[in-house]
Amino acid sequence: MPSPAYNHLLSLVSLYVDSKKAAEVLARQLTACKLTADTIASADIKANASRFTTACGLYIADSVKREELKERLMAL
Amino acid sequence: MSTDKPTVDSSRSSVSTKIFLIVAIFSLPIGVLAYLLAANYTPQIESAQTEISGNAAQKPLMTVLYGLLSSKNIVEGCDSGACGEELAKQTNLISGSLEAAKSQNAQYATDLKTTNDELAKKDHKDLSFDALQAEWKGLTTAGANIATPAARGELAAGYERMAGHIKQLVSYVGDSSSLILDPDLDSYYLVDVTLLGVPETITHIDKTGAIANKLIAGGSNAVDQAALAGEIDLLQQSVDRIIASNKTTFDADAANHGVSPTLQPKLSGALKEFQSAMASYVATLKTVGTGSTQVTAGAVAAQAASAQKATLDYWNTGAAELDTLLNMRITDFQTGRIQALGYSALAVVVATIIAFLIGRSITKPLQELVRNLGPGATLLGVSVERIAEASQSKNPSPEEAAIICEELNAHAENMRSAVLELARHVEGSSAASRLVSESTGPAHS
Repeated sequence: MPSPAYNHLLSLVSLYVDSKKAAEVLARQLTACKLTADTIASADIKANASRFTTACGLYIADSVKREELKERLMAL
Repeated sequence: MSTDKPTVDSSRSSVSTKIFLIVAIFSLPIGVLAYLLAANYTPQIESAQTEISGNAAQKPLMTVLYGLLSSKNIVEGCDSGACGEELAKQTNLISGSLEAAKSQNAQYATDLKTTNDELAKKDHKDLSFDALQAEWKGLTTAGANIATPAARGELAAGYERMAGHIKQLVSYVGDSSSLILDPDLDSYYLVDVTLLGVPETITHIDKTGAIANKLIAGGSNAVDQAALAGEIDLLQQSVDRIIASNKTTFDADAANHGVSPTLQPKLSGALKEFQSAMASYVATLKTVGTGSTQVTAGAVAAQAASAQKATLDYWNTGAAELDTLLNMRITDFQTGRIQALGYSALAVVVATIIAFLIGRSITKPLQELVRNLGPGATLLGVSVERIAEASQSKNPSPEEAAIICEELNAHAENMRSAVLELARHVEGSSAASRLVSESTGPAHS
């Protein structure tokens, strides 16, 4: 069962990227960071915020929105 | 980098809409066929309804015919002229039935073409209800004075003339109501009885009674004897025809819109009584003029009256059973019409459901492709932008490059899967296998 931190992260990314695609992108990045949706904590998100922003940002055409997502991820 | 955005032709319909249109196009002929099928029942139902109207119109007319011929028999057998009471009874019956026939005609005249204008157009002015009532009024006036044989003879001739008009009207109603063209074997033969057989039999009863009276009154002579024998033969043929037609009605009942629950139980009894009365009457007639037995005019008249009453009772039962058969036919056709429309509607609904399922199986992979290609366009655009930025940067981020490569690779995988799925749907599994073998070549070498 996904952790609350993962759910929070996914719902935030889903505001900018299609939710299915967001889940796919996050799954790949969690694998790369050797994390899982079930165990990820807020601290992990903060530590890897840049990676998540870069990956998810590739699917956001508007640069302003990309920056906005980056800021919100950093603020998590 | 080009900033041109792709344009969408809004006039083009979606695949789902096109599939729905195909279903609608194929439903159209089903709808037309259903309409034609239902429309085919309507004239048959209307025809049966007109037959019922014709049958209803004939009921009081047959009573009038019976009353007129009975009155004629009474007058002819009335030697002293003291038969006023009996005649008054028949006069009341005829007046009431004629009134009933006229009020029924007001209801059915248009359908049965028995309005004064229609009858005049067909050269049957003397069959209009106004003309018949005027004729009857003349006869009731004449009926008040039957003291002399001449007056009785004139009155009897008047009754016979009016009976002839009523028979013509019965026949006319049989034609205009399509009873004569009844399409089912059981009801056709019952119509043969009610429309032709019974009126003919009543007439033969009257004729035989008249000749028998003549023979009894004037003594036996060879000419009248031969005439009576001939009329008895015709009467017997008429009775045989009724019995044969009745049998065919019974035999054909089951094959035409189901078995009538009342036809055999009710009509068998009435037929038996009719046959019995006719047998007694014919037996009595055969003794007239032979000299072996002394038959009185009163006895013949009584037998004739009894035979005519039994014939009318049989007619009434037959006409009621004809109504039942016609109503069963109407119900059967109405059920058939509802079934035709119901099955057609069901076929359209089933076709629509199947088309919806097939349509969904077509649109689902397309939607998957759209889902993959949509974000893919953004991914490619942003990736190109980032690569361009990184190429100009003095410190390019290897992590960012790795993420871009990873996402591009994932996107390529997604596209490959979507294209394979699409190929499988469009060209079948063999084409998809060929695509797999082609795509695995350079990409994985």
